[in-house]
Amino acid sequence: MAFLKNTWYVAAWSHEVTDQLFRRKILDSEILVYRRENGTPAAVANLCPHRFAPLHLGRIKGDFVECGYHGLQFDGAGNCVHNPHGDHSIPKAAKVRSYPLVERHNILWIWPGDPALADPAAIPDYSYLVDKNHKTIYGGKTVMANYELITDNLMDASHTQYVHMDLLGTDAFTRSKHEVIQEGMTVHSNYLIPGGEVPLAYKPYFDDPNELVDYSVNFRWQAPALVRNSVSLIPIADPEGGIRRTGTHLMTPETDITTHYFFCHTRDFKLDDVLLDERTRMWQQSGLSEQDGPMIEAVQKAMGTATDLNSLKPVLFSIDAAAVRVRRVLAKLIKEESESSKVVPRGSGAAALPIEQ
Amino acid sequence: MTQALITARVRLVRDEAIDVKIFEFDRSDGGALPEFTPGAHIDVYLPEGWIRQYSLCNGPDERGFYRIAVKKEPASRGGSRTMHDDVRKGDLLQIGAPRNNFRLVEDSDHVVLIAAGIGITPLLSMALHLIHNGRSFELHCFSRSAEHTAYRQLLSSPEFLDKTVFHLGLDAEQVDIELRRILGHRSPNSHLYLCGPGAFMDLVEKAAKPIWPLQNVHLEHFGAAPGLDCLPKDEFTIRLAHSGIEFVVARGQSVIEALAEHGVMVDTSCEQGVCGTCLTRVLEGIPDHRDVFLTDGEKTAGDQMCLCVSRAKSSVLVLDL
Repeated sequence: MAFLKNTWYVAAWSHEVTDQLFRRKILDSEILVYRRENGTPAAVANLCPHRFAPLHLGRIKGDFVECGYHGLQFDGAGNCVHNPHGDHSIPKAAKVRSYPLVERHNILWIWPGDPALADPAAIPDYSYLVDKNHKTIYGGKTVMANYELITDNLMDASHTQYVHMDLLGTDAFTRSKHEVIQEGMTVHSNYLIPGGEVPLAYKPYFDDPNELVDYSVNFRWQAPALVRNSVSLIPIADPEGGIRRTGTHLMTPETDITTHYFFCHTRDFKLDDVLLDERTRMWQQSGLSEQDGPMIEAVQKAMGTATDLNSLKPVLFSIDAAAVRVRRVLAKLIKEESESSKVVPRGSGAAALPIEQ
Repeated sequence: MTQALITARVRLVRDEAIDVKIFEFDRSDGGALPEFTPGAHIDVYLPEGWIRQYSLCNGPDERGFYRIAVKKEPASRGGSRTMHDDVRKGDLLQIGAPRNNFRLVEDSDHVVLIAAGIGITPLLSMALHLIHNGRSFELHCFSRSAEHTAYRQLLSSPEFLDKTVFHLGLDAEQVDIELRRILGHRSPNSHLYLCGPGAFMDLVEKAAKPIWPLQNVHLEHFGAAPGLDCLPKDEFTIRLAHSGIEFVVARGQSVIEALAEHGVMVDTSCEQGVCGTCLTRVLEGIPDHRDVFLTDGEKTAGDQMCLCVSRAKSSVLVLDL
């Protein structure tokens, strides 16, 4: 399947990449991420052009990566900078592909497309993740399913009543109102569930867990698969009270049918409540590992290796309106990219070989 | 509703813009016509039983006659076609007394008027009233081109000069950007009035939503009162461009069902306007979009529709089938 290439994807949370070599397959390509001595990160193809040894089996030497097989060293731009053998000469072709990589807001953003088009200004704003008046609890998981199935799942909150009945189910579900709004290339899927009980997952946030609240969940999608959801639970008796929190769901395809799912939850209250941190971590992990994850993976399994849901002619319902719109916008962007005259350069030399691990 | 009818005489017919004609009526017996306020419309009773609503465009100094502007809709079978082709100077027509569902709030400090196409008609009457009373306003006219713009000359005159902005030939996305710019700020105690096709009004309402309180936004749908042939139709005719087959879609029946009745099977799936399986090109006529598949821009363009739920605002739709 075709991925959108000229866009920023999440390669990793900042804290995932320490002083060790870090490998991750992104859009079917093996990528190696590491930090130079001053901490700035770099991303190169995880493959030595000499004998195709994966570079993650080597080690970091200062600002460079040393191949574990024969000791060739490469800099963050992918140039071979040291050959310990013979007359130490370095052929021009001794180069690995490098990827534009920007660290911002606790996220390492990678650009898999044409490096000349990589504009850091196009990275969406996630500054709330590093705002000191907010507390963010991070998580992540590789899901055995196509990334668009995860986006579908997020844009359709009606599943929460069934998949997450215990955590997020609400007695007011039948009163929920849903609207889909498109602004430019951004799609919103907004739910308002008025006058219900606080769903179980949110009860720890409330002093009085039996309060009746207006519960709204607004999902905001941007290409390629970046979803932010703003949740508010406002007590009917106290419009100034209640809680507002933000969920961040960032998907990066690993392959056609596997996805790196980065998620976190951000709150602006009880910042130092360690117990609340732990509870948040628990329900976000169990929500995904025991609820969404197995369902989405089972759907992918039923679809086999198919990635285009529409090609299987699903019978859709009104609850799918936002997911359908997102798929249309993404398909349009991918089509425009493939039609544009800009050809994405292949990695130079042997590093472009599609060697599977 | 029953109302006392007035026998009116067509005292003037004039070409105003591409597909737009101006008609003026006075009383055949020379008597006085009822007074009206800006934003009012009259019912016009046409031969063959059509009743159409048209906004009055007169200014406050222009009494003793009614002036309307009528756009000829390409798919029209009755209203605008009859007005354009059959009504001549000196003809007698029955009309209703003016009614107003689109009143100007009298104590506002600033007024923003936004018209699309022939939607200028009620807003022109308002603008003339505001000028007459020295009140602050701005008028935005969206139109396909200068030649399509009704009252272009009047709106370019000195008294309108610093108050009127023409937005010509924009596509749906450009219209959206322009509307967000216009409506992105709001002076205190200002009111917004808009008139145009449904999809345009939706764009305006969305652009206004962030900072314009609902009670300060006043709208008149093209079809709702100053109707051209744009009211959602209970019944309408489908014509298939390739086979020439023509049939009526009955009230409560979907286009898909009506097609099937005539042996034309179109792929359909969700039956709720979600999936886009039955998306079909519209060659003529104005669809009444009821789906959630198409974007606002695509709905405004009006050249395709989901046959499972969408209907027609024009009497006839010609489909690419």
